[in-house]
Amino acid sequence: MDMNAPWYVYGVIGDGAGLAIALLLGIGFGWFLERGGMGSAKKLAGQFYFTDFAVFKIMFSAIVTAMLGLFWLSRLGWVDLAQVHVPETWLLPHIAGGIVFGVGFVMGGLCPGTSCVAATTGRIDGFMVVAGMASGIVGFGFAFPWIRWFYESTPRGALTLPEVFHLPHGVLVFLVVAIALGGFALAERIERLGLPRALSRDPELAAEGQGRS
Amino acid sequence: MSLSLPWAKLSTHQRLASIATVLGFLAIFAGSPYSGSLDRIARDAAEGTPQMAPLALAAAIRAQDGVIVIDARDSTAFADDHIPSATNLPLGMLAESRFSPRERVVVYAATDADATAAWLVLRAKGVRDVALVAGGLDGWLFRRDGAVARSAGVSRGAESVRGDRRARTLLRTASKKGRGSGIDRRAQRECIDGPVIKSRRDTTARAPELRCSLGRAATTAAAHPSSSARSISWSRNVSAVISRSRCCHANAIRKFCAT
Repeated sequence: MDMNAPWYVYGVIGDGAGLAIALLLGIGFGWFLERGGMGSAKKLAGQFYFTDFAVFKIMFSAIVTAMLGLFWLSRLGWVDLAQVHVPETWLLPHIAGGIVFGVGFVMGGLCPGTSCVAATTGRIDGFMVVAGMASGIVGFGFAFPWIRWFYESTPRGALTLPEVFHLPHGVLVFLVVAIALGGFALAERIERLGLPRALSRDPELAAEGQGRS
Repeated sequence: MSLSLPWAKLSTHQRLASIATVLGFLAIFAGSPYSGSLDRIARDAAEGTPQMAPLALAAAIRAQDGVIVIDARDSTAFADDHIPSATNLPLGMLAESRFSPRERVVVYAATDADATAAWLVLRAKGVRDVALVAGGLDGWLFRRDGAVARSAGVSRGAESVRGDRRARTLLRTASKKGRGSGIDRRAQRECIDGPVIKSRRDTTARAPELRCSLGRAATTAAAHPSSSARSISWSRNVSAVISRSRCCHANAIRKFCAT
């Protein structure tokens, strides 16, 4: 069977249709983020206090769905995986960016996508995060000549997990599914029992937690 | 969650988890998701890399039917001479470029090995219709087959000009000697109007202009299809003059270049 996706790359759809689909996907993305409660900073912050694992569940559900979908669609010849863009890894800048992102996520209670959802639903903290994000982008642009040396340091190319771990694609797909499902089960348990009881091997403590819930 | 449970008794979460588990487990035995395309490239390479004859390429360039010509040599070599409409993408840059899989690409390089490497790079980047210029740039420039030159239209004059090694040798010698010359009006007129110079005594050559014209002949003709008829006529005449009399007037060539 002839591959026909990614549609835009293969010319199945043009710029107009691509933008229209992007708009529809964006509407769907925002809709489901809001439906999942991701517009609330309190709910998101719950992730970091181990009281609400909605962020973890949504992220890993998205990862597993996209991974299985891409793997099988490309294996069946409907998607040309070689045409799917893999962003390059810049080790130290990514670590630094991750730390900044994580600290900002906990302090603000929102990430870039959810801050847009929060702002759209009229939450003031959402507006403030969006404004901060915009100023950060502009500030980065002005500061770029001075931090360029760091921005472009430790390049590692377009890395994928199978390359890093020297594992076949299929094995890695299975491992990620297993980690996700195990993580979901653990997350449910922690949500139900609280972190200390969920991780405790003491049957009495766990039973106490069960009774409480 | 257990697969032994009847499907109907499972919650939505459990059903989704079951589907993910099954798909994830089967993935172990499914092989690489990239293997399909790699297999195809390997098969195509084993059958021999597709080649495009200079004649067909000239026709495609002239028809402007969307074929992309890539010159995978370095920029110095590219600046010296290249196939009309070619884009200069040395091997290193080629690997970093992005192409649409539906594009038709014809590539040539300094050596056959480089050209084959460029072919592999392009195929690995997902472009399916990649061909090499048969004979490379030399194949384009030194094509001596008269039938090819006649039917190629757009570039046949230039090819013939380049194809006549004796003429080229003569011109190169003239160039080295830096020999300028006066203008022979008969040669000029005949170059432009068509008749072939029969006699060697009229031969004069201004080497730099000739050299410029030889490199650009096909380029000019292909780049200006609107004036292609005139260009073809001129290039045919120029080629005839050079190949038969091994000379032509510099002004005729200069005019041809300016077309």
